[in-house]
Amino acid sequence: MQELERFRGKVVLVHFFAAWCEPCRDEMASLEQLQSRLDGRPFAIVCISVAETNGAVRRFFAGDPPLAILLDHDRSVARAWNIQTLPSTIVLDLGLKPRFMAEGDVDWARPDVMNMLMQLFTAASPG
Amino acid sequence: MRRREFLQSGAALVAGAVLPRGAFADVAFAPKPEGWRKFEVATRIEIANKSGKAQAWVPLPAVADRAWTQPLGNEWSTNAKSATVEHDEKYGAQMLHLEWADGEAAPAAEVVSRLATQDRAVDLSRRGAVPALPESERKLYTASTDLIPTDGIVKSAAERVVGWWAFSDVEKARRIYEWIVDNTFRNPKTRGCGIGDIASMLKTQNFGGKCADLNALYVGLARAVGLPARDVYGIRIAPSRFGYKSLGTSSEVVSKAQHCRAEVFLSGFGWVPVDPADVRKVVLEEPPGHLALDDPKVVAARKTLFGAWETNWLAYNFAHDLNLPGSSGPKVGFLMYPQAEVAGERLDPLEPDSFKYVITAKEIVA
Repeated sequence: MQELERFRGKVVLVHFFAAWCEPCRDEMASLEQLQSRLDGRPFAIVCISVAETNGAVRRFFAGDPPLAILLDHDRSVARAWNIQTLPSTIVLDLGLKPRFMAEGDVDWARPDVMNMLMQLFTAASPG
Repeated sequence: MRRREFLQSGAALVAGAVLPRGAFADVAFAPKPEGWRKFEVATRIEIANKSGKAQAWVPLPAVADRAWTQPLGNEWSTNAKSATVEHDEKYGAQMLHLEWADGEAAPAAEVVSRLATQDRAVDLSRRGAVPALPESERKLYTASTDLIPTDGIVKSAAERVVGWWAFSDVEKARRIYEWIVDNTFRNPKTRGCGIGDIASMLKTQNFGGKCADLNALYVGLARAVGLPARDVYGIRIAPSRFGYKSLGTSSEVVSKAQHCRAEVFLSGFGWVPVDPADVRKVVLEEPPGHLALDDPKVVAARKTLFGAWETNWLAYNFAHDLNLPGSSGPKVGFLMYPQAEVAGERLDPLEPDSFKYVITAKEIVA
């Protein structure tokens, strides 16, 4: 069990995925590149594997995963976050407030997407 | 099936391949209860036990209906320290629970189940004096489960499918069946997968791959409009005698032939077998593949699979949301595959380095 509170002060991408889901596999590389691009900034990506065994996730990453991976074996976390599509990503601001949500895979290198993220590093949380 | 009969029917199928289009329609896909067949199904499991206590759960045939399926007993051989037949009280599912001693280097087991099956067909033109479903069962089989919610998007979809003018339960059940056959095609433009329940399947409109079974969708939509319905989890164990390659096995090895079917309870008829998922399977996979809905093979399957099943198939159970006895891991949404754990970690049957199983099926010919 991980507490979201420890990420306060960072922009957080909470990313729901499954290793068997083709668009999830496609997006993972884009997320890894995003992590590198924003290295040094207060930024974290938390990937949550939905309804999979530990072995399936290990096999998908073929070694140590490059991103933090949490396991939602029984879908309770996905349901608590009202997730029905994989992949889905919820972007939290520095105050851990949800600011954006994407259903389906995203190209995280797109200029408009990067602009959206960069704004969150400077904006204060809405009241 | 006797070897000579199999060769003769195989020759007939080859001859059929050179006949003009439409010839398949002359082969009736009409399962009828015309005689029992006996089968022996063996499940062999091996666990690569790197460290820690290993345990496994192997589903056993637990559905008994004097009209079409009778379990005939199980036996097993194993190096496990204990092997116990466990019964699930709620749904009557049965499984063999195996536990190995700590440090057992090569946990293994073979479980052999025998059963008898007979094809099944309900005459929906003739309502009979069938006892009403007990209230406890009606409640059980109209309830939501973890993977089959019956509210929200599922309920609204069911009401839209059934429409206000469908007055009889048979009509409602049939409308749901026809809707699934007509609408659950795999759209290549759809990106994104469901999380495994039927609500997310409806939300994403992704009806293919691992994204929940179409027959679970049937059950959910039926339950949402008050029709008792249930999944029947099982595995294909023989080729189709009606020539459908996609609806039967191609060898004695059936490790990946698991298939879930559905039943709906209709007043005056009892539990009625349906299988819209298999109609879609014929569309996708019956050679040459990607058939049109008006292809004679699809038309024949569609007509038959509301009310009848060919039972080249073993029925394990009706269970949902099962706790595996002795496991501290999550419930399984259904029990249709062997399950295993080492040191409390649930194993992935698709990861051959850690957990592999082979299931074989053969007909017992007297």
